[in-house]
Amino acid sequence: MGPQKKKSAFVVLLASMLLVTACGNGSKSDSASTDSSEQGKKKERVVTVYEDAKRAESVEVKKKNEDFTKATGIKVEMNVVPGDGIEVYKKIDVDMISGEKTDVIRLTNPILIDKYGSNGWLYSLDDLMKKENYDAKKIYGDYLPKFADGKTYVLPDQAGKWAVYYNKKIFDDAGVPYPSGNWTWNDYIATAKKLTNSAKGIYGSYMLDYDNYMYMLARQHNVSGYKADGTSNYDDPAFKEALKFFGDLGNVEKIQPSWLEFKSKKLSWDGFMSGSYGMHFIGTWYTNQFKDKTTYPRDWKVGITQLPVPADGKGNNNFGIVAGYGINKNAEHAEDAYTYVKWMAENSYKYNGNLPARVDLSKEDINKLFQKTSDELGGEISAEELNKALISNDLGFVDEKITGPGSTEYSNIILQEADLYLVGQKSLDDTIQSIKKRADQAIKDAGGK
Amino acid sequence: MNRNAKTAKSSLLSRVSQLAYRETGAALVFVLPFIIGFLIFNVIPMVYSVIISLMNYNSFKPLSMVKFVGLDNYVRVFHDPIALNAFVKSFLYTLFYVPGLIIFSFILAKLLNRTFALRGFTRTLILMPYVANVVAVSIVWSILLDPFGGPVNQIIQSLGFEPPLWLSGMKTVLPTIAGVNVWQSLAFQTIVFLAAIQGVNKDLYEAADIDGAGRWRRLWSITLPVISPTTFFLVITSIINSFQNYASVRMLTNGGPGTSSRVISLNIYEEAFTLNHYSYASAQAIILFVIVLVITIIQWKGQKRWVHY
Amino acid sequence: MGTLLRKSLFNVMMLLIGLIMVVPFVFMISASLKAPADVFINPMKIIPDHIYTLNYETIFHHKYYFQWYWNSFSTVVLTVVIRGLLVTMAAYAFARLTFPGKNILFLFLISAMMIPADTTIVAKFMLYKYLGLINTHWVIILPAAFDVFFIFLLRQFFMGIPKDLTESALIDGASHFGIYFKIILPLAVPALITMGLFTFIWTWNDFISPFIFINDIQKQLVTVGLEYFQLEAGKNYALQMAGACLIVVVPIFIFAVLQKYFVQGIAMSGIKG
Repeated sequence: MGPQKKKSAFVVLLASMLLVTACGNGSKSDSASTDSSEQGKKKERVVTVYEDAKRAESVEVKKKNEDFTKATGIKVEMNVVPGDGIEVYKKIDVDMISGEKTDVIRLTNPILIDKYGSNGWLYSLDDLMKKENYDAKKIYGDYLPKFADGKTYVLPDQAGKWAVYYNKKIFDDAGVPYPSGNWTWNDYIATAKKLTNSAKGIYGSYMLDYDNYMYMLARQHNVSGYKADGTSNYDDPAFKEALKFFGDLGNVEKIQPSWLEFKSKKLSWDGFMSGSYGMHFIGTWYTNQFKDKTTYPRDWKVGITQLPVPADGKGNNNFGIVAGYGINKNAEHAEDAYTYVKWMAENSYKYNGNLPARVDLSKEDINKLFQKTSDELGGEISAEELNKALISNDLGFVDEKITGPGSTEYSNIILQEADLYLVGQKSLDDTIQSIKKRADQAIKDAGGK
Repeated sequence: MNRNAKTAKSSLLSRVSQLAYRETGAALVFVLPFIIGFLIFNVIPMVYSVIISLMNYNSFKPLSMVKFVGLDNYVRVFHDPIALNAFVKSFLYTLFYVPGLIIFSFILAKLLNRTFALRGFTRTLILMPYVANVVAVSIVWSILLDPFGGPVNQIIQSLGFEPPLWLSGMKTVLPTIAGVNVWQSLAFQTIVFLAAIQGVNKDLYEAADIDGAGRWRRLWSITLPVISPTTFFLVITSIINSFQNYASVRMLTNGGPGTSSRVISLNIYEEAFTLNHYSYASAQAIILFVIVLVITIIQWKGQKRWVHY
Repeated sequence: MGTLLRKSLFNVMMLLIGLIMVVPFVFMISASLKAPADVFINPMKIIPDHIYTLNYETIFHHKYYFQWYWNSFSTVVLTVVIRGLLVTMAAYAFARLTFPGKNILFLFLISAMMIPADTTIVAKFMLYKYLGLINTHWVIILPAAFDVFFIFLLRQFFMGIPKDLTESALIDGASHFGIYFKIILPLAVPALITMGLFTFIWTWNDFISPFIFINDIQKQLVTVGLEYFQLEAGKNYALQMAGACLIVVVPIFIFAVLQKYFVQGIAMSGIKG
């Protein structure tokens, strides 16, 4: 190619790009106009839903939406947001502020539910529920998210709990019997110690860097993050004990990577899947990872048992989080969106294997759910084991997170300050004190007391 | 001749083309398209920033509920130890980062300008850290600088020194991040220096050779003065950028341990996107803007001493 | 002999520097061939036990991947061209022409770089929506085209070009367009390549703008496109590394081709001729 030819080739390329970019816009408006004309003819009912990339790709969500359309005649259009579970809401936040009309938002934890519900972004469901005498309280019980103004903005579709997953191969290799449930944290530590084998690079236990690990013991004792007067309750001795307990697991007992090691090696949320850890204390959403053997090929089998309780016998609680659906205040199709939210809240659990947020289900319904999960796991975990670990035990249920005014910031503060304690750069008392002080300020700024 | 003929016609077209011959007119034609776009795409968002910083948009609520609160957000910054600390951290970071970046990239550019085997190949390698994924960079350095028997600390230990905690130490974290970032962003400054060094008129070197000037003398009295406009550009923009690169800090430490590496850009980002404190974040951004502007104006005034156009 | 030894020592040193630079890339390739859970395992294995090609397969089998790649490529090329024209012209005016308020205007332009871009994202979203740019590729191209950074760089370069060259051309009756096009631009080739290359890299790697301003999956750019591959509770880093390796190919290739223009004296030989 001579220079002249090269030049003209470049011009042609450029022109074609301009054309493509321009056409891209053109075709969009075309499709929009055909949409509206169709709407004029048939009045097709549509509901638009934000979904994160993971869920949008999943077979369950597609199936669920199809079944919904079959049952109600309402078509579902997904507005897929790329990015991980945190980034997704950064985009949705900006969308909301600029008046985007997508109907339904799924809110994956109580802090988000509170953030969207309490700040006037969601459509109140009360009138629609009243119209058809829908008794949400009866179906969802305490899982139904409450708001300061007494209204209902969110119907829950999932109430996750916590459990201990264990790697049977590591237990077998160490000649340790599998945990049988009904155990205390001391038993957990003793078991993990037997499994830990530094020569082979194996730790008996694995935990992540989520905020609630910093205070899980306090939550098990059902100690609130807020005092009656609305200020932070972090100076309660339970929080101090909980933070020390978590730090000691890595720093003193050495049954899991210390905080410093976890952070400086950038260990990841799916680290347990690598097969180097004996037990993993985590929420039940984690079950899905064991089903996915293409992403996580493994040569070991997994077991599940209930979470350990504090040795003092006063904190016999499991904890977990509620996720649910809300409707955008600016929704284009609010009534159809309500139908969607209701249907999903009632039926989601049948598709994804997550624990339902319904209190009106029969034993058979639950068993069917567990049997399905067990089948999907190729029988690695039986339905009965799931039931025993999660439902049929004598554990109570509390919220896993601290939720209330300023809870996002509260959570950040806990992580920042605990970080300094866990790497040994701040004393326990100073840490607790600065959490309390900073959290009080954050609560005040957020309009609490 | 030709020009005069055109003027005689005095059609609109020729008057426009005449502009190119008059300096102010030419300037208008050259600058105006840019200025129009600049006003739309840069100035409007800037003005918005100033306005929103005077509002109480500090929670995730509809814009219609936002109220004017004057300078409250600015006052609040001065009572916020985390924000003040973040300004100080950013300042310290700049002190580590900018000199390191300018010195290393200049040396590297000088080296790459010499002839050696595989020069094109090596020059291309310089670009590698720059285009490498920021996650990959942070993971690689976490492994190399791992306080638990990472390769760097093993060497330090075998030499009989106390190995530092690097990214996990309160005192070491900022210089470590600065070092990693110098290494990673070296390519741009190096290539700009390289382009500038190539603009140095060879005649000047020849004349210096005749005068019998040594290598250092040539560097000092020819290369550095001639490329000083470029150096000036790099210093100014590196300082501006050093106050803004939250992306790498976020990946390397996310501000930790505690708040030891929480620089102001990260603080602003978190305030805006995690906590939805839009007004407060804007106020911090405007304060940062003023600080950087003052630094830049001081440099602008000071350039007469060392920049030779 | 002594010079030969010194020369080869210098060669070795330069190669070593090159190797230090290439480390993260080795890691990226290695991680891209691992299963997600094995990326962070310690001690790290450079060569994985099992070569895991699923990351690349997943990417290539996604129905929009090549569409994203093309979107990125066309967007970036248009940005480079439009920015190149606007920026070189404005830089010429600031370097070579005198007009009232020049210095103040220039400082005003530079000050736009000092506000962290992300703090104005909400304003930008509403502005672009008003202009009808949301969900088109122009939302990436136009704001990037009006860039101050490279005006500054080119202004500095243009100012370094000897004045007598352009003044004699003016006396000969050349227009400012002629001088800009025939004298200034050819003399600034290394600077222009620098601008083109880094505009390419920055726009190619931009994440926030396409993430916030583009909604349709088929219009997305490749960096954000990779974010459609997610694991249950986080990013799929192994797959991201595979994607990053594929993304990096283009800028590396471009630079490998263009770097030969960074040769001592090319600019000055133009002046002499």
